[in-house]
This record gives sequence, C-alpha cells and structure tokens, in this order.
Amino acid sequence: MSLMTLDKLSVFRGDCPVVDAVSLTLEPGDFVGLIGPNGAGKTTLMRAALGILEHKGSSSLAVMSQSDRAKQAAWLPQVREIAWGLSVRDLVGLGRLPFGPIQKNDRHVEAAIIEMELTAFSDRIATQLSGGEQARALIARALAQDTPVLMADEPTASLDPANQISTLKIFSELAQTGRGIIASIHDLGLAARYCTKLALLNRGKLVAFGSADAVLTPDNLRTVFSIEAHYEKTKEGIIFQPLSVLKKSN
Amino acid sequence: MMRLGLFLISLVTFLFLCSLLIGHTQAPISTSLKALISGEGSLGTVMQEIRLPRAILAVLVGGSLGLSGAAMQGYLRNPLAEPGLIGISGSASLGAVLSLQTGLAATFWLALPLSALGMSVLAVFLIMLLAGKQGRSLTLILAGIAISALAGAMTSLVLNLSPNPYATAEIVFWMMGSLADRSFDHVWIALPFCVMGAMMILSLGPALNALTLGEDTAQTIGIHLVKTRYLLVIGVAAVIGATTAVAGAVGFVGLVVPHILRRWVKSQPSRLMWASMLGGAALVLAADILVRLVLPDRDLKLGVVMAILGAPLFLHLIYKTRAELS
Repeated sequence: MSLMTLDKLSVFRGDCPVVDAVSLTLEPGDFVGLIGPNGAGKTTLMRAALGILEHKGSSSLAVMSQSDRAKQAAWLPQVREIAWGLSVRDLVGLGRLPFGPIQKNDRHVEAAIIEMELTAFSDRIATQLSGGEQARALIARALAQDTPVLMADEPTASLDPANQISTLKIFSELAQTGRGIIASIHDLGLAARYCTKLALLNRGKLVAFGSADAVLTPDNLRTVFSIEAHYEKTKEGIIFQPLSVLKKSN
Repeated sequence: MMRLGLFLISLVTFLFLCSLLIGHTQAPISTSLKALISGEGSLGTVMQEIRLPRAILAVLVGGSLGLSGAAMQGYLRNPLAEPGLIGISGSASLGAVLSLQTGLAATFWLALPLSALGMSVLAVFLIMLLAGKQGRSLTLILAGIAISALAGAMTSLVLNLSPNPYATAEIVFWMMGSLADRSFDHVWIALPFCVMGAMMILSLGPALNALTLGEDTAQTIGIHLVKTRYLLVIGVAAVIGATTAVAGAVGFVGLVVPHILRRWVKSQPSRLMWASMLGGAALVLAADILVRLVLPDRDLKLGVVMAILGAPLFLHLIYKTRAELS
C-alpha cells in the first residue's frame, strides 16, 4: 500500500502554475530526492502535498483530518524557526504533540536525540546553539514524530559534510524500515548517492522520476540545470560532480 | 516548575490578605478578619463590601492581563506583544468614554461596563472580519493595529468635542485605570467573562507550544490555526473587555509579567500562561496596595502606578537581554 499519492497536484499563483499537475506515488522504502533548480516549485509541491497550501488536484495527505495527518506525515521546513529558548529536549518533544500529552522520557524523543547525536546538548537552550546544531535539533523533532511519511525541505542546508552524510544516512535507514521520505536536496551528488529515487522538477512540472541513472541523464542536466557533469557508478556508490555551466539555449 | 507555582500561589495569597488588611480604616489583623467573616459593624461593611471586592478585582484584572499577555506573546512569537495589540482594550475604553460623555454612566451604574463590553464585542467582529479566514498571525496584528488606532482616534475625538470640562476630567481619570470604589456588582460583571475567557485561552497550551516551530510546522503537528486564532481572540477579548470595563485600562502588566517569568518556566509558552496569570494577579495586587499606601488621600490611579513601576522594570529587562545577546 502506498504511503502518499499525488494526483495532478497543481498550485497556482494568480494564473501561473507554480506546481503543474504533478502525479507521484510514495511507496514504503522510498527515499525520494526532490531535485530541481531554484524556483522549480520543490517547496510548494511539498507544502501542497501536506495540505497546508491551497491546491488543485488531490493529495492523499491533504484530505486527511489535521490530527490524522499529523500521525501520518512529519514536515521539516527549510526556515528554521525556533521562537523561544526551549531546551533541546522540550523542542524535540514537540514532535510527540499529535499523540497526546508529552510524557517525560518519551522513548521516541530520547531515540531521536541519540540518533541526531544531540545527547550532549539535550538540556541546552535551543536558540543558543549554532545553526547546524539547531538544524539537527529540528530534524530530531521531526524524527520524534515517528510518522510513516517524512517530508524535509533542504534538510542538509547549513550542515557540515559529516552531518550532511549522517543525516541522509539516517533518512535512508528510516526508508529501509518501511517509511517513505521525500527531501528536497540541492547537492545532486548527495542525492544520487543516498536517495532510492530522484524526482526532477522544472518550472513546476515533474520532468523525470526514477533511479539516479534514469534521472541524471546528460540531457536532463542540460535542459533543466544547464550544467555538464561527471557521472560514474563505482563500487563506492555513485560519484556525481557538476563540471561546468552551459550557455542557456533560449 | 512546581516550586515556581507554589511560590506564585503563596505570593498571591499573601498579597490578597495584605490588600484586605490595608486601607483607610485601620484595625488589628484578627479583628479585621473576624469582621470580614461576620460582616458586623462598620468594619464588617468595609471588609465585605469595599476591600474584598477590590482585592478580588485586583486578582481578576491582574490575572487576565498576565494570562492574555503570555498568550499573545506565545501566539505571535514576539516578546513585545501585549493584550492591547488586538485593539480590545482601546475599544472597551471607547465604549466607557462614550457612556461617560453621554451621561449614560450617571443614569445607572451598569451603563459604563456594559457599553465597554459592547464595544469589545463589536471590535472582535471587526477584527475577525478584517483578519480574514486563513488563520495567519500577521493579518491579525494588522487588523488589531487598525482597530486600536481607530478606537484611540474616536476616544480623542470625544474628548476633543466634549463641551463639559467635568465630563472630560472624569473621562481622563477613568482612562488611567483604578480599582477604587468598586463593589461586588463589578466582580459579578467581570467574573463570568474572565472565567470563560481564561478557560479558552488556557486550552491553547499545546497550540502555543507548537507555534514555537512556526505556523507551517504547527499545522503539521496537528494544530488548527484558524481554531487557535478564534479561541485566542475571543478569549482575550472576553477577559480584557471585562476587566477594562470594570477597572479601566491598566498597561504594562501583560507586557512585563510574561517577560519576567519566561526564564523560570524554561520558555514553555503553555506553562508561561499559568505563571503569568498568577504573576499578573500578584503584580496588580501589589500595585493596588501601593496606591493606598503612598498617597492614601489623593486617589492615586492604579494605571499610573503600574506604568511608573513597569517602565523601569522593562528598561532593566531590555538591558539584561542586551547583555545576553552580546
């Protein structure tokens, strides 16, 4: 049974479609890397899929009641908002809100803190941490929600390379346990290595969906990103490195 | 956290008793308390019909201001938010001023509070209409600012055009806020609104905690933004409308109290509401005692004392925050 189904999902800003009839199915075990140039509609697509943005077409998450959806899908927005100086543990605990009053020493909260290597920070005030540490605390918050679907908007932005890799590894392990994950990722190399599928978005349209092999073709890279890249399958995994910018054809 | 609660509860209890015992008529503590219970003699009348309602109103006014201040700050995720921001206190004042100016307030005592409450209800409808149905906080602030400005301008207009200097003086004094010469009638007007409003606001604990992460994330952890805003605006309007109707506009409590107490509740918006409710009650009780102690014969206004106390306190907090930020 699929975890999320989008059918011709569209979002309009005025008359202009920002997301244009995207149909997509998220199966258990999928770790979908949502890629595309700036302004391709990645964030808008995810917000519409969650039902927090007005849209046309349908999303199986958007039709759920607010409380059911909170148990089905977690959302990690790109803007890292932490309004008050909560302790990291209290912040992560907010992920348990859909499941009733937050218990002390909730096992999901403790597990998420350990997973994101925040044990040493758990009693620190979240707003006083560095940007990368705050990002990890917020990822832990989403992990604590422990939902079948996790959507993350540029989860690796502002993380150092080690934390980028370990975050994507955690996501990919979560997918292996039967969850479905969608994350927008700008670093195509990381996306190619860790995601099970890539979804390429350009001007609101889903241009390609499938394995890295099928999506990161020279043709797609040229038309969508205007770049040329080195792509190689090694025994260490896929190595992808953008090489040069092409002159835009139009 | 438990300790803070116990401390605030004992502080409020202590100040409540002080408020009962301090005033023009001096008597030993035991005699006063006996008179409070029996109601006999002139001291009994003073205790039961003057000091008891005054102390209860101080708790209602302070609790309402502290609670709604904490709720507004939590909802707007801004430590500078205060209950007056959505224009309810301004509108309630306008209602009161109109009843004073037209002389309606002199014809029967209920006219002033009812007119203030009526104006608050009107303001709530206007705000909801202006703020739209999306449930975002920005539109609410903008609508609140518009209503506040309008109510302030109308109040000034009434003063400006007032042909009667006595009415003008009365209006100006009323607007300074006071708990003097109130009776149990005032308590009975305010109490139901305060209880209902407080229950609505206190039910928002989880929603305000979730909003720490922003409106988008709050929605995805099961918070209904539109419902939250309805409960907040109607709850704040009920408590602020009712307390402004009986005590006039008292500033600074809703701004300063949550600010002082935030660090003691580990910044949790839900806990801050309870703490600020108690802290606000304590602050207004203390200020109302001060009013009677400093210039007992001059009818010093509560709102004036509050502002004199509040402004330096606030400056101190800004100074401390600045030190923490650097």
